[in-house]
Amino acid sequence: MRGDRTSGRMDAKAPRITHAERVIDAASGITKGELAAYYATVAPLILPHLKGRPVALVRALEGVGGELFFQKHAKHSDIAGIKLLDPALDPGHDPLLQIDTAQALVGAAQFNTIELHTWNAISRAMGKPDRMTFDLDPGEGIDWQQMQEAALLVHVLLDELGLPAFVKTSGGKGLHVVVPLRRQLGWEEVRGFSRAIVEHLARTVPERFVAKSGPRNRVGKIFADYLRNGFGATTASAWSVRARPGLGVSVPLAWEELPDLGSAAHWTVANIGERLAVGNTPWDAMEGSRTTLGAAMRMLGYLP
Amino acid sequence: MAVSKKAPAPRVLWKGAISFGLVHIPVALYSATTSQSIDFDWLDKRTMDPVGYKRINKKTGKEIARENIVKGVEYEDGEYVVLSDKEIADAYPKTTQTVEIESFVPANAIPFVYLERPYYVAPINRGAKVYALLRETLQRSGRIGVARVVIQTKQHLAALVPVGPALVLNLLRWGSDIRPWNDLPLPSEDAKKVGLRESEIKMAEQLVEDMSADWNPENYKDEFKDEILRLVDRKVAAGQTETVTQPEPEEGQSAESRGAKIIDLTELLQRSLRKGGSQGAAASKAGGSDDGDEEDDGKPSGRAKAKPAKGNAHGKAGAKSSGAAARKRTTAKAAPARRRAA
Repeated sequence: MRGDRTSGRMDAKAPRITHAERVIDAASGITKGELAAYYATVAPLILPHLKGRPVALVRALEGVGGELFFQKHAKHSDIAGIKLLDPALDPGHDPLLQIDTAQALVGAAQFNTIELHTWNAISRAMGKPDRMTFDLDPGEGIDWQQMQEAALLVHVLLDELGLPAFVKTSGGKGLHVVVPLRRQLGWEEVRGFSRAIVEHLARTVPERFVAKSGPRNRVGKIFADYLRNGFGATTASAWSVRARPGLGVSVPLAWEELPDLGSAAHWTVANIGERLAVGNTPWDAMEGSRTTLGAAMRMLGYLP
Repeated sequence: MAVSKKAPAPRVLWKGAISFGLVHIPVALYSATTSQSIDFDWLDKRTMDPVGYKRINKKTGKEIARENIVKGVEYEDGEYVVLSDKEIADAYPKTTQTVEIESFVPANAIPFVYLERPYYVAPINRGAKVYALLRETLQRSGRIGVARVVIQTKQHLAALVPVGPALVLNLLRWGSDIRPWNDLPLPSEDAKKVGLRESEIKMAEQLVEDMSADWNPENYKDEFKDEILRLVDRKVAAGQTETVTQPEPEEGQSAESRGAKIIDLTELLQRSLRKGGSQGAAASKAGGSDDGDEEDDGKPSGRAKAKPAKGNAHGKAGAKSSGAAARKRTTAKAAPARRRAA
């Protein structure tokens, strides 16, 4: 009976998934119901990354391959439990969204959300980002081994700058490198410095990196996207599914794991089970390693 | 690009722990050696263009793209088994991040032929005291540790040896990598059987005694290297130099042009910060606005098909591209001679 009661309580809160049998990704055959079940399962792992942070939803009404809707704001949302934030946080727009509960998370899946992207700041301190994100994005003709090496080189540089760095798969083709910050500087300083880091990379290792976005600039190169560090910019959260064939999942990694990993979409909705036990442990040190940027800025000769 | 190497600050190659019994010493490994040999780069004598390699299909003679190369093992003459990068990666030993000591043997028990590459071992995370304890104990007992360690996907046998203030982890060759000496015409170890007389041995011992000295590595230099460097300096002074322009990587977009070794790039990045601030960095002040507003670019979509996973293959040593080369030939422009070891 005890089991019944608990599950009964879950059921009362768990949103109903309509059209659960609809296949949302032809490549893997995963259904909408299975995607919702995925988010219900990983809720304890993904919620720490979502809680208290504005979130953007990537919704695919017709599944992978169909049109995608990138939703950062909403005047009103049918998703039960999703929070609408104070419109003053992002002036001139409808309220930003925030997902703090498993109910809202699964509810988002009911409304065809596949990806969840978060800001680099928490909602109650929007003026000062608490992390810096580098989205390592392979240009045409970059293979996975070069991607791995590029991430290691970024790690080397951040390490030299004395900045803690954590890595995750993007769930697509690339890797995300995250530097946890103490909330001291504003968006302009953080983005400006992240740009200086990427420009230094591109200047020092021009055969591997470019500091300019745009497909033509990055043929055969890797673009370490610092634009993810501006006000309003978002990056797919850890444990977010990606709306790509195969439904890759963005998964936190230990740096030591990277050389042995086969691809940035190594884990998918279909095989994530084997990774759940590891969960967020590769990032355990993140909170404790939050850092300031002053010393690194001086080392790079960057004047904010 | 290539300049004389200043000694870079020691870089941690590996972090883990020495482990035996219940003892656990957190340590980092550092390279104990540097390569000081001279690099002779190949140049086209007609144009002074750099010379590089291409991977070719040996039958057609045509260049082959990286993605068309698979790895095979010849199990008998002309017969191959093809292994995927994934299969190879799966066979790698599991990384344990430990130097697992299996036994302590007398310090002179391992013949020199087994010694391969040395690494320095230094304590981390407050491991200094127990590190010192192990070093002291090994020195007093005259023993060294025989250990297993996985470094970069490869399992090694190694000896943990106290040397001065350091513990050195000296990788060992596996027993099966050492050739037997049975077939060599070696004289018997029994002095009598070889017919050595006591007086002969005395005389030889006297000679050795006379030539005895302490080991001092500074007494020995690679004279060939010094000779080449002197020659280079003379030619630079006389203005007999050539300017070699590396072809733009943009042009020859072959896989090779991106093949620079990651180790070199790592060092390059580390050095890049040591000259005390970089030139252009200050130019990009906060609030630069020429980078376009991509705030809604979540890049969620993905038309691109997932590429077949490439395993952690050992990249072939990269050779420089030989694409359409900017060609230039100047003489007597006292460009600094390129050398690896100075």
